[in-house]
Amino acid sequence: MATLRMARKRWQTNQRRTSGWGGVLYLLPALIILLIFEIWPILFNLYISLWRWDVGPLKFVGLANYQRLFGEGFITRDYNDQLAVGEVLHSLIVTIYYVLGRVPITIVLAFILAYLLFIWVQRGRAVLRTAYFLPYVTSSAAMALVFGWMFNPRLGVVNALLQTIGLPTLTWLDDPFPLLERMVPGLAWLPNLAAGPSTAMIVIILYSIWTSLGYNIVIYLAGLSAVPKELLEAARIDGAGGWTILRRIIWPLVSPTTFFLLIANMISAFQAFDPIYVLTRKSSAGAGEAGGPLDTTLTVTVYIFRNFYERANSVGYAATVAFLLFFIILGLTVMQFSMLNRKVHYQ
Amino acid sequence: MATTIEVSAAPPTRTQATTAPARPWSFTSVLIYALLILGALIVIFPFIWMVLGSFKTLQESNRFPPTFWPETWQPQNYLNAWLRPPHTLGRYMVNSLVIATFGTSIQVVFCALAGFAFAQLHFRGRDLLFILVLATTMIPNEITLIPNFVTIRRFPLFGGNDLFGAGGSGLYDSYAAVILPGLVGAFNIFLLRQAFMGVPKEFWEAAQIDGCSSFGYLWRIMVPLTLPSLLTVAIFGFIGRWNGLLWPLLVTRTEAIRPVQMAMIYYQTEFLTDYGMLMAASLLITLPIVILFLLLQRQFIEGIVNTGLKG
Repeated sequence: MATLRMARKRWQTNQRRTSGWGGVLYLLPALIILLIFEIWPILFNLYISLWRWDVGPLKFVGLANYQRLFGEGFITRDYNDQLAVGEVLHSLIVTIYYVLGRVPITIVLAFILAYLLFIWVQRGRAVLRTAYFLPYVTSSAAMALVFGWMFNPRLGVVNALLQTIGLPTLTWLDDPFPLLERMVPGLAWLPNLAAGPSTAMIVIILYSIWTSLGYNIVIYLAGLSAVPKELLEAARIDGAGGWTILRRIIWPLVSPTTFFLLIANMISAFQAFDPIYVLTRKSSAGAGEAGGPLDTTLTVTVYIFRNFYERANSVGYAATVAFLLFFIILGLTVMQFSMLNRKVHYQ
Repeated sequence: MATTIEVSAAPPTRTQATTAPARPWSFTSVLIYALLILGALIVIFPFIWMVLGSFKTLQESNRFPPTFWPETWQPQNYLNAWLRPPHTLGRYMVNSLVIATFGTSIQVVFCALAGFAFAQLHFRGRDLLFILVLATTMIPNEITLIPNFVTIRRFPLFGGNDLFGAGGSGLYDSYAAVILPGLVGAFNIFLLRQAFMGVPKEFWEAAQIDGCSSFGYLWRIMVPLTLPSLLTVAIFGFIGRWNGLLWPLLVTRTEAIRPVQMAMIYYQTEFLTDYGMLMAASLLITLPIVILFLLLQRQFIEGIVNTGLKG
């Protein structure tokens, strides 16, 4: 017996030793790619941000790009020499409107729909789920153009609907004014940037809710099916009504899912680019620039793109702004990971 | 392709749970069904509008108020859409197919190899490397975009570049440029490692006693046993690459190699847009993904549910 154990042990240690290089070989392809295209870029981005950079480096400028980012990027002076909101602060506010307009509505809608599907629907649940989920797999380049037509100010079906039910039509993607000012005329004295997302941004928010809703429903359905059935049964026997069960049992029990979705949606919203690019690069009259009209859909991501791709000599500055976004998203991701750890710990 | 992770408290593999008690058709349940179906119709409406619009004539699609059913059906739109961009739409589709197929295949292989090493093999520094790999899931796209663009342009020894990456345009404007940066998602490595770790250790010991090499074990035992997970990685990889817009836009210039999402841009350039043709094009490039999704739906949704993967 003892010899057998010893032999086995020796065999195992041999195995460890021999798989030493083998293991690294298996990892090598993935590690090389990750090193070149994921890890190195962080350092390289830092390097680029210290330069005036076009196709290649032009001039070493030290921290000048950072000075610009936190200086005139936030507070600048307009042509009247009045203090004004800088480009970066502007795009941050636009981004926050986008995130605030998109994330809470998506989550609340997804929860309601998932709850109804879960509690009330047995037959046909899969079909309904597929219907709600379909937008999530289709591409922004194609479907955002469909939205562009639906919301076209002159030809769109949305305006036709509004007209039919007697509501005023809007010019949607062509309209840089906040929807709030359009709805409540008395608010016209408010500075545009303070009055919420522009009407154009509303279309982008609607599109984003449309694409991400199905993902959220699927995750909520999974969270709901993890709620112990005995608990629901017991509550029902105790005479709790549907509303009480929803508020006192289901909502608290799916709160980890809600928190997860909150962060996941925020990360995805901060990174959104494709729909904004596709929907705003041409106005309905054929002119325009991604982020328009009047920069009211110019989120940080699009602002980085504009500096990187459309402006001359601004690659270094774009890299600097990218760091700002990096730290925002990193913060959110760390929150997500810390929750993940806690959940694993509780198991 | 930022990925986010969730490990659910209890792994809910089937969302088709039969929790809803069988009840008779009450007024409330009919109302809720109606509500849910109405919601689904609203969500599906853009697709319906796209399909119907793709048959409308230029005059009809530029009329207000719009018609719902096409007055005259014009399938010609599909031919126009196919021939419209600088190259035929088929050319762009082939490009996307090449990018998605090659990119996804290499991705699955690389991630499987790495996942296998992390799950099964013992070597010094393994756990440290694993943490390092996992940490890269926290790096968002935006920070890698600009440096990767420069790296691609200055890739040594390609596209007229010398050993130090100067002189030419590197990998810029090639399939490789589109494929390379997103090739390995650390999250996929994590996913496959979990799948491999689910295979009982005894199999490995038995295989070793039978003289099976580690690669033979991976290929002949592990891969068949973890096929669903590999398929999940592949589906997400394929759809993500087919739908990709920003990165190909940045690193390609030649129309002959650009992917299909970029072709969409050429349909909306004029003052008077031919929406019939635009909708036909949208439908043509969306259809392959919709079919793929409908075929592999369970795989796809379970992939999302079990991992929280967000493409």
